[in-house]
Amino acid sequence: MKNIKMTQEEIIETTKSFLSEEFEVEKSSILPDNNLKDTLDLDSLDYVDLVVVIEENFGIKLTSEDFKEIVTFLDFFNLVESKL
Amino acid sequence: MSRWSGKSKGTVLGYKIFLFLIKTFGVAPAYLLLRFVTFYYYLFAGANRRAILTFYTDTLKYSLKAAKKLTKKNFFIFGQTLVDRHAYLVGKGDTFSHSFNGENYLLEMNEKGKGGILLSAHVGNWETAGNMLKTRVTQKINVLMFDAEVEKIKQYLDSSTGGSRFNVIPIKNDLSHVIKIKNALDNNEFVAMHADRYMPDSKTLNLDFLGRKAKFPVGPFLLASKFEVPVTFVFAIKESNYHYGLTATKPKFEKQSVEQIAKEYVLELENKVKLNPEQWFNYYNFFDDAN
Repeated sequence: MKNIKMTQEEIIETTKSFLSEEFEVEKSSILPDNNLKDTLDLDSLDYVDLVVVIEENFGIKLTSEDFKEIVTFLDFFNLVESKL
Repeated sequence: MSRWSGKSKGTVLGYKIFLFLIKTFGVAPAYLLLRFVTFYYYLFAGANRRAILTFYTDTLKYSLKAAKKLTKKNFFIFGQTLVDRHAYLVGKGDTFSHSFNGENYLLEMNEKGKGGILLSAHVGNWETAGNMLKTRVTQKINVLMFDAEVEKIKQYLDSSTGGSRFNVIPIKNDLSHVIKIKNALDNNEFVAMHADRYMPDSKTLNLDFLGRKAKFPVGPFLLASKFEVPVTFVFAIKESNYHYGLTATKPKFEKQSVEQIAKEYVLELENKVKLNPEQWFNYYNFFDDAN
């Protein structure tokens, strides 16, 4: 899926799909207000996988500044929406 | 000291004296002063001395007499590499000559346009390799590193030399360095990093190294594997006072697993350490928590 305009609902569904598969978490735990790092149990090396799957699934490029404000999944959805 | 602490030794005054000597009189007088400084460290940096001595006796199986001699040489050459590094920073890089075995591999990587990861170690003098690559292979070189200098020394060096000639990607607790690496590779840039040290709590691989088990950081190998970029192992060995021998291994362009890359890296590192034991600059017990 490369740089096509998506609604936030579609972004949420796509995100749930690939994150649950990549990081082996229940889709039901990926909720807007939940903490992204804690829910996915990310360590520093997992960020490498995260960067790869984001680019593969949304075709967007992130900058080092992008993730500094990301705490919850809602922050993440908003970031993706702003980049598409 | 069982692990690398992440900080370098030295004082601002020490750096000031050496920079003055290099700038005013050149590298040779700095080497002369270095004789006394490294002897001081040899006497008083007991933990570092013991770590190197033990590495030579227990791992490389040197006699105690030979190991002591080699340890003194190690301290002096390490000091020389620091002097050389600063000589480059103040524009005295033409003091040194180089040979480069494998330069064609790096040129090939550059032409393929996929960027590349250059893995090295604390053996020899990476800064020299970086300077050579920048002038002969590509301008686009990034170096991933811990902020290893004491802050006061870093400020002094930055103000007096203009700082590093490479784009430094500092390792942070957030993921900013991962994104910077990805973006640099996407722009067909090289990203160089050491793959022989790890910080406490980081993920490691337990590998056979020089007949023993040692831990190596997963990160550098994971980056090369996940981002699917060519990887090569680059070393710059100080072959005489004013000559460096650089080597780069043939890069693999197909995707490799983390373990594959790590094993090949360790084989190359073993080769370099056996040939140049006096240039092993890991001043802590490399094996203590692996056995």
